[in-house]
Amino acid sequence: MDAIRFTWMFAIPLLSSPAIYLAGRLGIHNPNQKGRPNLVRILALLAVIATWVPYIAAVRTFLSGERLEFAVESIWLRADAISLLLALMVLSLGTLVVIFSWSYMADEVGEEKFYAMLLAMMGLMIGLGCASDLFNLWVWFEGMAVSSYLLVAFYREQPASLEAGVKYLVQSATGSVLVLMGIALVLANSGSLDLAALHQNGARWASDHRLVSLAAAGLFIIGFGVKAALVPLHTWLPDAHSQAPSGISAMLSGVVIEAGLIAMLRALSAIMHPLDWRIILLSFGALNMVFGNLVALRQTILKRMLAYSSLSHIGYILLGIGVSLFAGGEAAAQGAMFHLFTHMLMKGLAFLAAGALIYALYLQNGSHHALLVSDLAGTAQKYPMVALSLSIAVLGLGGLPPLAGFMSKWQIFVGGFSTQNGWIIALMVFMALNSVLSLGYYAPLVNLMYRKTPSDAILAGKPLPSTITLPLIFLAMAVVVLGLAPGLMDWLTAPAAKALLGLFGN
Amino acid sequence: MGTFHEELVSSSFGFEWLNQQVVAAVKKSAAVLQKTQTGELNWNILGIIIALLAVLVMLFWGV
Repeated sequence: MDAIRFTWMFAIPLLSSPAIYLAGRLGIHNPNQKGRPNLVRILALLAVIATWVPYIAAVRTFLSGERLEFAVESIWLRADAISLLLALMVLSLGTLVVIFSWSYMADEVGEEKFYAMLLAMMGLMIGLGCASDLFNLWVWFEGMAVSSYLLVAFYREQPASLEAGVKYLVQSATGSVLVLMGIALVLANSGSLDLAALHQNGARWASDHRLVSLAAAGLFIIGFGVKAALVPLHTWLPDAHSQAPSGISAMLSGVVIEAGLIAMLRALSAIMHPLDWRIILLSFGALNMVFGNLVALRQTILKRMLAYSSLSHIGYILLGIGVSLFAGGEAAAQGAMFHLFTHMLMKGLAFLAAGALIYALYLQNGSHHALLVSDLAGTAQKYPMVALSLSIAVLGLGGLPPLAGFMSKWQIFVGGFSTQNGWIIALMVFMALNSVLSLGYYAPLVNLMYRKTPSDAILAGKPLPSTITLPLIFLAMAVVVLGLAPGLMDWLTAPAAKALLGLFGN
Repeated sequence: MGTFHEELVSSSFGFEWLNQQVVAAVKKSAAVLQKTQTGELNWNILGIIIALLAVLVMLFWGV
């Protein structure tokens, strides 16, 4: 395969985005073309299916050892194992979200904008994974952010949705400015923004300009940390996750914050100063775990609870990466890469299951009411598939064997213990305790759903279409299968961990 | 002696007390942390600025 063809991975979604919007607008404004907006859904589905073709070809090329890179003038795009992992996450969840939204968004005004922005966001995230210089990394990152602002504030007639969108925009913009300042510092002092070039002479320029490199590292950690939802930079996340359409909540939690984390790690790799910020990553990991779990315990709205639990999962991932950077060894980093993927599956499933209930209980009754935890009582009586899916998702997130979440946390755990470093082992024990703590809010959800007496909301619920239950079945099966056979992802998580550690010269 | 044993067993050898203390501490911590989540944009931005300053201080101190 011609290595350049991998660029279709992001070109197809990006090119189809305006086409979907135009198709939708033309259909809507033509009164003689009733039913034309369905074209929007068909085009969106075709676009995501078509994107799998260059992705699979790129994976084959990657596995054959050929390099995946493309240049326009001096701008390089390179796909490594991390790029392919991110693209797989985006495509897997994106495809299921498009199917899920088929019915979920059918009655919404501006359906074409939803699909156009969703496809654009997917393309921009895949592109972000391939950026190989700091400025273009920022451009892809900003593009992804702009498309996600519009999706968070999609229900523009809902004040809470607009408020969430504005908060997200202002806080993300603050982070972006900090990143840009960091990039300016690197450029002014090193004369280059190319990550590979910075790598080669990174240690030298960082020691020549110690204060500047430390300041740039701080700006990158905080700037990208806003999107990656590091505590206390996460405050946009509970509102955005709970107010966005459920498919977008799944994307935000399953891939957008992970993309922010990957962008942060790529940018930090340009600053090769010894240690320093590696301990900061571990500190943020520990803070995220405990803060996310404790605050999630207090939530009465399901999507807000899931949003806070995402903070703790970012903590587990940071811990895995931090352990490998701190003490060497690939095991914990591979566990972190695997947890990136399993978290996408489990949190995507949890948000889509929550969305299925919102659709059945509220949207079909013409209401945008939030789904309360108490609404879940007796869900299994009327919606057994949704109850089972949500149970698998939350028990997996809580780290119960034999589900995928247990396996990925276990890999991080084993990686941490194998370092035989007292501090790292203490952090691993802290992580295990946090995982147990998370069952304090996950387990009651399962208990509620399998009660015999349904809540009033469940009793008044409408039936669910197959386009909504199908993605739930697929994701639930993936969580179980990867739990039973975690080695299925080794082909990608192992090289991704190697590539990540390679970025930092380990 | 029998009474002492009964008390010891009925209190689960002190583990019940320990469990209650841990649960109470977790609930109290959660309540305190929940108060920090005001949802107000001004406080959120202040959080970002404070975090930036904290990270810069940690980096310059060579943590």
